[in-house]
Amino acid sequence: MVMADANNISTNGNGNGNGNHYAVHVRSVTKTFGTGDATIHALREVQFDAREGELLMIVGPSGCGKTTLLSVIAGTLGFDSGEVDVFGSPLHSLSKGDITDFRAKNIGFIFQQFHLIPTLTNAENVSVPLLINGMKRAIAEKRAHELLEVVGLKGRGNHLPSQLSGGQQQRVAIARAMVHDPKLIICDEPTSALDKENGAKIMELLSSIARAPGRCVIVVTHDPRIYHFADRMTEMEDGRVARVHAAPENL
Amino acid sequence: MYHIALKMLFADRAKYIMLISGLTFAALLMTQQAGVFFGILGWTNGNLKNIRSQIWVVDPKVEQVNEIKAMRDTDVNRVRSVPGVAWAVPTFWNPQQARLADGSFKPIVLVGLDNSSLVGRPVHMIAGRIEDMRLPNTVIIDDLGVQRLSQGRKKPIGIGDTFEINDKEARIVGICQTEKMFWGYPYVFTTYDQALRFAPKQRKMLSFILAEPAEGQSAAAVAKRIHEETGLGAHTEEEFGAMTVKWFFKNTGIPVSFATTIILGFIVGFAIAGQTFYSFILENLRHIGALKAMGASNGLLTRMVILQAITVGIIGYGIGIGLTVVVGLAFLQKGMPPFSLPYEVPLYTFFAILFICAFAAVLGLRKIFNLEPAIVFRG
Ligand SMILES: Nc1ncnc2c1ncn2[C@@H]1O[C@H](COP(=O)(O)OP(=O)(O)OP(=O)(O)O)[C@@H](O)[C@H]1O
Ligand SMILES: [Mg+2]
Repeated sequence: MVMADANNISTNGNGNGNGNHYAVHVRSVTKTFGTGDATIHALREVQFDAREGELLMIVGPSGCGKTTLLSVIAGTLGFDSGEVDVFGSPLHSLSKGDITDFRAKNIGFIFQQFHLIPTLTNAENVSVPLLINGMKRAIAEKRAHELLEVVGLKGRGNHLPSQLSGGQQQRVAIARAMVHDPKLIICDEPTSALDKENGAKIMELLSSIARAPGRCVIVVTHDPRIYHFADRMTEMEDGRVARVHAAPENL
Repeated sequence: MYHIALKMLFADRAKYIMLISGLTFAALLMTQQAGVFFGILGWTNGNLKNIRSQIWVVDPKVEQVNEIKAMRDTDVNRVRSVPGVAWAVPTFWNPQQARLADGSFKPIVLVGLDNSSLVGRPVHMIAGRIEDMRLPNTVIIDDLGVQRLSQGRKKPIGIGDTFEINDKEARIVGICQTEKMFWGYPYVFTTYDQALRFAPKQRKMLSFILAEPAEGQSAAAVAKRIHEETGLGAHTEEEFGAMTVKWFFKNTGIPVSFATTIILGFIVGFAIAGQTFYSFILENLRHIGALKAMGASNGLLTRMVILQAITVGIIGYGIGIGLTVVVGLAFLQKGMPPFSLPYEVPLYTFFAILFICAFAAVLGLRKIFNLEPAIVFRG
């Protein structure tokens, strides 16, 4: 079933996204790169929502602006105009320092290339978000070991990332993304470096996280093998949200 | 996060060792060369430390303490008659050849002290009595002399032994301790009259006059008056020392060549450490970007980088200074080359190393500040 367009949802909500209905509320966001003839319109008046408790996928052809939108939502990239609300934080009106702080507390990141620090043990890698938030090292590492157990890597905390398979490394990254209990977890192509089986394991973990109350997981992907894990799917085209699919089977 | 910063630093073995080596090299070269330089400076003033006198009166053309232009004997009385001079005594000071037991020759500095007062006498006696140098044909040699003049003997030369100065026998009645002087010759002390007998006859044999101000008068004022009334050069101990150092700066390439080496050490250390630290930051930029995305503030990252820079700085400095001390002790043991480490040298070296580290850190931090956390989503 196709829900006409993204604006459809906002009429149900309270309009500025800080109610408990919306996790992410993006209104008329524009982002360009470069100037003059070389200007690239990466996002054109984007309207976008993600709800609490859902795993939302963003799909679309290469260069359509998926990563750019994800970066805007995560607060790692500034935008030219529009409004972005994430769990009640209005990113468009926060200072740079406040946005950094916002990311530290509220966002979990999962990257295509894992981005684990190779010289740190898995547990140390997982503890990083807690340390950034000022937690004591010993407590942070204890918590990291617990989280590694949750993602099925019991006993691997003192190993280095290089001693793990790709799928296992991505599970370390998931542990790192959730260790500080963020409300929003952002994933860019989390399974594209993995085979089907490992990709499915990763997605199972992510959907279980998304189900938790007051949480949301947004996944950008090209990988049709994992489409069925989505609660909803936002399709982008040329810097705009083209369609929102309630059920991925209809794609 | 600080243990994470250190772990990232130590884990990159190659760069870590490179950083430490660069800084160690800089610290070692700077302090060691400065140490030798100050050692040489100390030698230049060796005479002033071994022959103590508040006022030195010399020929007006003399520019530094290692230079002799003989004066007339009558000059002593001219100095004595200057108001404010408590006393003034003649002194002989001249390099001579000593003939040893095996027939070989060694250069020495023969010092003749005023017969009655023995002003300018050795500061530390190791053996024997100073007064014994008034006995006929006797001398007191220094510790360096024991080493140098023992050549051709089964036992080290000592009290009661003899050697020859210009075919005249000199009998040792005491051993004293001296500081090295610039030429590196051992001192042989005797009385003024005996010194004139040991040395070849010349028209003028008075090397310098040692004088003391009357009670209540400053040495500087009296020296000035001596100069004004006699036309001779008259300097306080400190003035003469400063003149000597100045002379060495002006007339020898020694300070320039040491300064060049020290600056070179700084530049090489600077280049190695700066470059290595910068590439360390560059190589970790991906990870730093991820930390930034995860909410690490510029402030936190700055503190982490500064910790890394200071850590390599202190380790490099520590090893460098440690090696300098080892090398310096070895030099002092051997007596060559001269070595002296006033506390300013390690202190300023520390600042130099800190400067290198600060510069390296700033280079890296500029990169980090300009880093957009969004890059972590790019392949
Ligand atoms: N930092 C940047 N500087 C210049 N142009 C950029 C930058 N980031 C993105 N773009 C451009 O913005 C557009 C959208 O890029 P984006 O990375 O969001 O696409 P995407 O949908 O994630 O593509 P892909 O599926 O290939 O990852 C592209 O044309 C891209 O070239
Ligand atoms: Mg992308």
